Amino acid sequence: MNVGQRMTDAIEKANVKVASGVPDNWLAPIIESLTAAKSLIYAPAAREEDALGICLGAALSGVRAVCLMQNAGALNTGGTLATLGVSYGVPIVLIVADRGHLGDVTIAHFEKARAFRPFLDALRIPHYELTPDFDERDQLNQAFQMAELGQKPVALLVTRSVLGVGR
Amino acid sequence: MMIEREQAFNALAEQITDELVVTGIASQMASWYKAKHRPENLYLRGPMGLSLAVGLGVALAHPERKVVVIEGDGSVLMGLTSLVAVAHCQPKNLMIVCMDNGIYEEGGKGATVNAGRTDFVKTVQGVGIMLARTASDLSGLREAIKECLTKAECSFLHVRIGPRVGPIHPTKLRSFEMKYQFLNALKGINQSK
Repeated sequence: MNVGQRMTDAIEKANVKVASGVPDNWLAPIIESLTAAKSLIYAPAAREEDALGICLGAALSGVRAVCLMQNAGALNTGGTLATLGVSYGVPIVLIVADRGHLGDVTIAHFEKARAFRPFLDALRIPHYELTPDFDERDQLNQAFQMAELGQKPVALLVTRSVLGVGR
Repeated sequence: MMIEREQAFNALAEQITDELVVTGIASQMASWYKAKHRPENLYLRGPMGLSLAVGLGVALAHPERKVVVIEGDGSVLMGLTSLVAVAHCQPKNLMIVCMDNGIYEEGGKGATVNAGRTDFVKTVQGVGIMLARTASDLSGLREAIKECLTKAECSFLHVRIGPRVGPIHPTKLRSFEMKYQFLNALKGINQSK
């Protein structure tokens, strides 16, 4: 089973009802599977802040929501994360393609990687790297438990190791 | 021709019953709080421009409830890309109200970008939200509100209003209170008990 379907299965298992996002190369297979999923709605967004707003709205009305974006897009959402996500304490889970680390040799990604985790730390948003066996470990559900316990967003970072060699 | 701000909000309040309402920041939140404060309101303190996306999220999470987003012209312009997401999803239970006073009411009162020249109805229909109306007098507004509330179709209502008269009436609710008030209303919890 490909990683996109595995991730979708894990998201459905976590009882997520609304998902939104903006694709990048790494996230596209996940978004493709989410779009076909029966137990949730995937709402595509034109920019990351809209995707985040959709997920925050869903979570503020009591359902689990996941938001998918690349780290560059996540960096664009600082105001929204601060004034709504953190200020209101909204328990959503972000799934972020953390581009620009060792082996991800595209010059456009390099500085995003330097900025992204300190950015999450500045907002006091917990972040965890998914492991390749994320589904066996039930990491999606655990992230929601953390978000709901702390009443704040939690970020799950997707790295090359999650997606497999050659991506 | 335009409608006095308070009259426009009161006209909306007259027809709102069990709908969920999401308000944009500052003036929209304050005016709606004064017109019809109730637990089924989700007030946004920030960020500017995001209430359309947030309202879409509420509408997708609760297809059984009508959701009304009240936003200003400056914020609608800031969140134009949200309209594309709304158009893609075509939620039958979402109504967007754009209160257009042509200025950044709480942002120095300067003119909004391209004020008076942007055709909101054409813009909205251009991205695929076809039930789009504009109102600049009270009777027209009441008819348009009724149409948008009763039709099972995603809708956008542009309302030409005047600037705020008198001081703003800020809500004293804190952000967490706003969240739990709305969540409890959705769960059917009577907070007076």
